[in-house]
Amino acid sequence: MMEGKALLSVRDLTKTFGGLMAVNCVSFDIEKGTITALIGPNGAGKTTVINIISGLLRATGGKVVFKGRDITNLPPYRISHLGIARTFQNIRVFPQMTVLENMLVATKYRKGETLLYSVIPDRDVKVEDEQNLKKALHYLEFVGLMDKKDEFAGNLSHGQRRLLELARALATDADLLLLDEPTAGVTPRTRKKLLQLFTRLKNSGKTIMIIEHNMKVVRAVSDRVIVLSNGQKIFDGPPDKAFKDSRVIEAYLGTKWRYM
Amino acid sequence: MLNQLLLNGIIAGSIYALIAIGFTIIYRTVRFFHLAHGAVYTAGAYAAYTLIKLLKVSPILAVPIAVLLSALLGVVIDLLVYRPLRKEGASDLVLLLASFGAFIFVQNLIQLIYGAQILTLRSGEVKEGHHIFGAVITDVQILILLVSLFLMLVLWLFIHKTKIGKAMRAVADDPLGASVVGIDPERIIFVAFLVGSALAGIAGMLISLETNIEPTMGFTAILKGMIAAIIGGIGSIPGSVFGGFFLGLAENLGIWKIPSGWKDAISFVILIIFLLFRPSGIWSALYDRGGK
Amino acid sequence: MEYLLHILVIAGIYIILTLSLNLIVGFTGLPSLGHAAFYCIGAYTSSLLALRLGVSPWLGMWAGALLAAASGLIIGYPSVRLKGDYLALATFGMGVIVYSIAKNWVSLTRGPLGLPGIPGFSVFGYQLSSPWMYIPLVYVFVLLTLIVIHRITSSPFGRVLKAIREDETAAQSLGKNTSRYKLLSFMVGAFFAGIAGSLYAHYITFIDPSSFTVMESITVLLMVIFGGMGSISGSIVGAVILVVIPELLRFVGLPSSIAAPMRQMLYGLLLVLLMLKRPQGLMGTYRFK
Repeated sequence: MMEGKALLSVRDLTKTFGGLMAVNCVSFDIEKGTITALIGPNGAGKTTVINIISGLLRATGGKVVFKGRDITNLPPYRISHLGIARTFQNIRVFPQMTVLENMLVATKYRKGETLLYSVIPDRDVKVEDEQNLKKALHYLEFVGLMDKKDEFAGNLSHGQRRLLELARALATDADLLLLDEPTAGVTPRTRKKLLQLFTRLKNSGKTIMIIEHNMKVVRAVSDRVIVLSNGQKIFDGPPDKAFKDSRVIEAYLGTKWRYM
Repeated sequence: MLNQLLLNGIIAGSIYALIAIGFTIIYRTVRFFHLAHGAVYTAGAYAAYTLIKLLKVSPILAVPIAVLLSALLGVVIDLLVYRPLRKEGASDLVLLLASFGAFIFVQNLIQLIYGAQILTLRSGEVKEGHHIFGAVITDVQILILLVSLFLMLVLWLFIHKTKIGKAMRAVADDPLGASVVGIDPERIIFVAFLVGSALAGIAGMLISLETNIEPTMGFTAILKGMIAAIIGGIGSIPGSVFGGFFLGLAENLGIWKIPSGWKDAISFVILIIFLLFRPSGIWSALYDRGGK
Repeated sequence: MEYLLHILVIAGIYIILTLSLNLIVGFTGLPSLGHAAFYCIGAYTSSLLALRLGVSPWLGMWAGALLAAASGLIIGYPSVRLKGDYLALATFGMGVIVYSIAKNWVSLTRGPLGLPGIPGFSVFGYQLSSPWMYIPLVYVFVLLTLIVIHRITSSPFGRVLKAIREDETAAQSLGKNTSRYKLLSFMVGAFFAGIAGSLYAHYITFIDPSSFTVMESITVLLMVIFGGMGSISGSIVGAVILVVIPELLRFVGLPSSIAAPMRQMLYGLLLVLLMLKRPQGLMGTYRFK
């Protein structure tokens, strides 16, 4: 096996919808402590890849190995427990829960989330509660949403929701973050802030895979770029080379590419 | 014996198919479960009863009036309940619950007016049936069968040959595309409720020639119609016809072993199995055109 | 007076039913149209245990509640695979199936004849027999239900239920085994509905399948929606108002052949109006998506 050092290895991943090949034999490795950008024209299969890794979709073929363990087609909650968290392109915060509650849902409970100990008072649960509260507040501080903690998540601005989703993913203690267009639709100020956060996370040892349409963002943060087109990987390498690669340029010119 | 059961199955199936087709025509344009369709069916039977038995109107006049009244009831429910919800973008679940409310309201209104007791539309003594292939079929049953088949044919022509029918198909297949080419979906929905509810009313009248009528008759009817529609792959008209006959035959052949008190439960077991494991129905597997 | 107390007992039983359904529908966001099934299972289990085996209602009640909870696993199973209107239809079907079993398994339940002569609860050998004796008993269980449901919904466990209601996919990818939580929600709701069924059976001393129809499920659901989904105080208000109002129809002297369909019409109309004008009910914040 060649998967020795990589944190995540994707091998020959394939997904078909009906007769349509959404992802076609895609393979790549992701090293710990790096930021990888997954780019490609609309409909290239980027979100599908992330959905399969995070367990929301079943792969038609191929496998996903995380920390040396085959996680292909495990249910999403198991994959989360193993240390992969994700955000969504069309933000999925819990709108009628407060920002703090959103965070606490993401934290891990051993006892507190069992039915029995929701009814019976227990000292361990209190300890868990305190620890998780501390963690939730820590990450809210990290993304700068501390002053919003008692707001309903549904009342946050678009950019604040993106920040909350990131903080929530972090609160699961994930090592690998899969971020699906985390800067889409945010103000330039929030985008700048997000980029700083990504770099700080990388420096603290987190691994990030990011789907991104904004090439400035890709250039600014990523160590490596994987380009998908029509479900196939057409490029894998450093960002400065990606934009010179003839196949990449062709893939983008072939579609209505407005982001370059 | 077997031939008789087959015949009974076909006759029951033709009624189920009529209900299912009406349900499906509406479902295709609004995409939610219009349960109150069952109440329209009941209303059709009671309208015929009122006109023929109480007001002594000649059946030739009474039947079209009753059909018209059922059609209007469907349209009124749509205008008063569903349309405002559609405008707000209410979910299928909200529409389903509202439909349930409308169903309960109409059913109990009928019970309030006519009482809970069983009524009958038949007059005179039951005539001896005709014998074919070792089975007995009555005049009424021949009528049910002929009317159902005739209506299915008319409906097929309506959907495929008329302009409004084609527009209905366009809306069902691609609502967005249809509105782009200038088809007003509200108008199509109106026509769907008119036609679908007329079919429910006719089904209610036909069944009241065969059996008795009571205010709760619509519950079993919508249940059977819905199951037929789901077996047929919800949203497919030929699928509904298939599903109706399939259900009618399955029930009547199953009667050998299963006591009739369990019929509703069996229907629901079938429904749940389909919902859980094969929501696209079996028709779509046999003939890949229906379904969503 | 006796009549008023009777209404109060019935209202207490409906408060338990409404609270327990609210956990499933209002807090977890699962449209369940078959709650009467659990009520039915609780009532028949403890009645049959008392009639056939002479088991005390105090024990039979827990047996009924546990059996209802176990059946919650089956009746709630569609929630693992279905959502929205499909789930509503499937749970509705489950309700009809349980009703049919009560009606057709004659050797066990006596079918439509029902079970007469169910013994009441007894305290220190003294048999409770009148409404005023049942009021403390029923309201102790109302309080118990209230406390448990309140504790559950304000715990981390309840927070996960709410997260499932808000966005199940997000909850899954945050590490929550949502199928498990949904089934547990059904089981807890079923458990308390089972208790309500047992209280009802031993209080009225007669049950037949007609108390556990689909309409009964819809009535309880209506109480939940009317009071407000996800609101505990809303459930209490919803249950009390919808128990009392139809009684007024009888109070003004309408015969039951008129009062019964009018009550149902009222419920049907209210369901339509709530969906149209106030889907979050009186005191709720959540509405069906």
